[in-house]
Amino acid sequence: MPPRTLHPALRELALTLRILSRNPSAVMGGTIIAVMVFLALGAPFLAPYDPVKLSLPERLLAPGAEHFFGTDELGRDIFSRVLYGARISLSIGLFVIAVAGGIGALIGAASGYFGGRIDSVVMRVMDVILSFPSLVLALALAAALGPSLINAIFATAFVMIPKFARMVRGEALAVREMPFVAASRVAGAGHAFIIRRHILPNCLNSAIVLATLTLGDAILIAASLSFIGLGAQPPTPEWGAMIASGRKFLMDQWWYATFPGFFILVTVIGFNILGDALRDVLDPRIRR
Amino acid sequence: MRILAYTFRRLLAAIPVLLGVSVLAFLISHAIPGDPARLIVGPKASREAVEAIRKEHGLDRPLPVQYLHFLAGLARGDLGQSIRNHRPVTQDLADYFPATLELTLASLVLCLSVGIPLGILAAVRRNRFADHAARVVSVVGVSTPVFWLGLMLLLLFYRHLSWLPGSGRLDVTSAPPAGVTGLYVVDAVLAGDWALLREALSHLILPAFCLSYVYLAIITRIVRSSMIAVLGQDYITTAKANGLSAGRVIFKHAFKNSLIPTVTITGLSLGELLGGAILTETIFAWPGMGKYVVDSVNSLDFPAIMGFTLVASTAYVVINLGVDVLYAFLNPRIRY
Amino acid sequence: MPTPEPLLDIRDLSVSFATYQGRAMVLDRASLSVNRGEIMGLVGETGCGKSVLSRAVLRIIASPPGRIDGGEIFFEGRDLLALPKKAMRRLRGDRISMIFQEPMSSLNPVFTVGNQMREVIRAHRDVSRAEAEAVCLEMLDAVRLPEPGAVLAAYPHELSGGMRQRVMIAMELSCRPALLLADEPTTALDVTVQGQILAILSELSAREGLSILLVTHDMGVVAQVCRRVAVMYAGQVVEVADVESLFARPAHPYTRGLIASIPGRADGGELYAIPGSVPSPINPPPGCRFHSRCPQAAPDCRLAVPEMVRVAPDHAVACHLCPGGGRP
Repeated sequence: MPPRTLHPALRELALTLRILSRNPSAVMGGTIIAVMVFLALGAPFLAPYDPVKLSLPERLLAPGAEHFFGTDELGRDIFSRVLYGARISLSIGLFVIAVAGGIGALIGAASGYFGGRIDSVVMRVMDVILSFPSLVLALALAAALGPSLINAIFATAFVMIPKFARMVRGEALAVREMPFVAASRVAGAGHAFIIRRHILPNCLNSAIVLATLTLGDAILIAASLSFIGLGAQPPTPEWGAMIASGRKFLMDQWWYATFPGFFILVTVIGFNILGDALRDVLDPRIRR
Repeated sequence: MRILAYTFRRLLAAIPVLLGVSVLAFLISHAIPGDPARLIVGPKASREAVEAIRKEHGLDRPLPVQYLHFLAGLARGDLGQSIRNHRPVTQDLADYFPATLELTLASLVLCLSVGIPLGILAAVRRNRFADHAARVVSVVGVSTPVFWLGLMLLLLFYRHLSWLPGSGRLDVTSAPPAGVTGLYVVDAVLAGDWALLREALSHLILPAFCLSYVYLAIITRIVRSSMIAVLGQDYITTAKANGLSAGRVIFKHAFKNSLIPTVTITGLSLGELLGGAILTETIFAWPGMGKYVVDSVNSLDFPAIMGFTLVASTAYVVINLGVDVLYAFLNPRIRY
Repeated sequence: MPTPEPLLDIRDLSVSFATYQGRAMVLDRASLSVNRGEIMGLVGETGCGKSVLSRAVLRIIASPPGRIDGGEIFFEGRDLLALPKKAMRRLRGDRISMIFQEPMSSLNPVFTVGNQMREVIRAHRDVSRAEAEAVCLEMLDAVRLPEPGAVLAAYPHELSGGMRQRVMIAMELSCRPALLLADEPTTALDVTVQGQILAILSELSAREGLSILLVTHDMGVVAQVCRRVAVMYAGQVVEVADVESLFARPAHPYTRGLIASIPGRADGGELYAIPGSVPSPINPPPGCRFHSRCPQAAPDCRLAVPEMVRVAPDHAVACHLCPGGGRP
């Protein structure tokens, strides 16, 4: 048991980690992600070659001892590029979640807390956003903003805002009826304080689950945008963009498109498995 | 009768949503940073052309006025003109629509005809292996990048096994069937042209499977979990206690109830199918709206992109409307 | 006068369920019999196994966790446990029917009442839809439902709880079974509706010669409609008697405790509650299951499970201390 002297939040965390360590899915998902994070962080040290350096004499080599994943049409080592791609994809995922989660949480909290017409209007807007198939809307936005990685991140984040908004709104609706909120108001607390202090912390568990599950989707959408040409631009070694380039050489140089895609698959599986396990463990109805 | 009233009410409720969709689409094309006029004519147009467009589309007018102009255009079916080929976007989309419809329908048929029986089987024959297998398949299915899957399928079935063709709806040398529907498979059947039917099907299989892969996993899982939940219900015990055969209990009593969550998820998945079609059509050079929009992206043909966006989201709203009505059909409790 | 053979004769029935903590002995050599044309009560607290017993008769206990470990169930002379599955299925709903506790959820919400009722009839009789419909209307009339036509066309959620339970009774009796298993049919209903349902059951039993095994935890219900009653505790039948005899001269200490706990029967203020709690079915205590809570427990009670012994013409009890206790 964690020592009683620790802050209650830390004790809760320690207990949760213990439960998670017994859950095989959580361990598997967590391991996959940990490996990817390690590869991403360690790319500068682990990559045998410079990801953007051309070497035309070595173009389109098959995987071998010198180049684990082969080389592309400009002679760049694909293994190194895949490693750096991990950095990019994980960063994309984190950025998207941070932006979508941040904006979504604020919108949702305000909407649920204030209720009434504000709530109706905001939820209507969220419904409209959800009326577009995710990739379609992300595509339109990214195209309007211009092809670049940052724009793709914003476009993807925009599409994911409603999920977070809805989740936080639900919590806000539940929490605002509770006595301690009324007590806070009587004590003179302002709206912002109540939202920050009472509503948002209650969403933490659901937010963690949602964030983990959405990270996988975010990476997929961003990779799709890059594949179409709207996200990362050459020579950035983003996995989706690499697959797009590799497509031209698919028939005779299978390795080019295969490895980056495989890494996308494994990474997203990791987030999804971990997210499912987290949901089982953290679901407030099942817990305790 | 109640269903009709319900349908009517859902239709009415869909109208503000569609308006909202048009507003958002409008904002995307007219209110983002950058020059909307340039978006309409493309990066290569001259300054005069840009100014002309600005005047013609009233882009110097206040935003609400522009929106009304935009809405009026929509009502006329005018989605602007493609930069690439100077044809009305509406015309382009109409031309490419049948191919996308065929692909999407084929995927849907595949998803449902494989997913539902598999889900029922997994629910009825419950054991730990089936449970684990279902979970694994489901997670992998949802995590797979559609475009990568398509490439891997091409590598295997086209490049290495040479079992299936790699692109297009028909062989390069073949002519499409004289058709009513624009769906080659259907038209070939109607024309009695069996060779062409085989050919069209062989071209359709890979892209349809690729597109349906993700949703197959989802649907199987939903059918399975909802069947399991339903089979635990009291009315199933009543049916068994009344001496009804196992077949009746499963396929009449349980199935209809388990369809309810399935239908909901199918509706949501259909939207994602539309998105996935963009990628699948590109990989398999399937001449549908998805490929059209990707080509448009490459040439920054913005009117075409927005036209597609509007059509796709309208289709999604209409599909969900249909799903709502179907849902009311299945579940008498919500017809109010 | 020789007593006619009982309609239902359960002998030494044992049923167990697999749980995370081991195998739970939910029924342990339980025996009872129901005669033709009588309403037999089966009382006991939650968890004593009475519902499992009634489901075992129909053999609808979920088979992976549940298992019938032994015993025989004779119905109209045949051992139901030895019947092949198809033959058993034919009996269900036809010769033996069952109604359940929750009328809310016992009917399929997506089909009309008529659809479900007709289905049961046509599963057992070769009749046309119109003929089945006629039988349905007749049955709905028998349970005193106004506007039977409207009821047939309605969906379950459009009816009240009491109406639904009447529909269930009508449905289950539509093939004129010999035995109706009623598993707490009034527990989920309002008190006023309870009385109506019980009256319908009484009337139908008297008129059609229908036997009913009425499972309940409510002694008041037993007093109202049953002719005989069996008391169960922790998976075993501990006392069987005709109602008068049971209430006037309860023999088993548990039965006495049950009767004493009925509110209103106590002599002054405090409600009586039997001290202690039901033993876990996973590791049943040796000897009499009740001995740990019994105010009259003797050392012998811990050693052997008592056998059922006749203490009066229609009154048997399984207790070491009862008159004639232990000796036949």
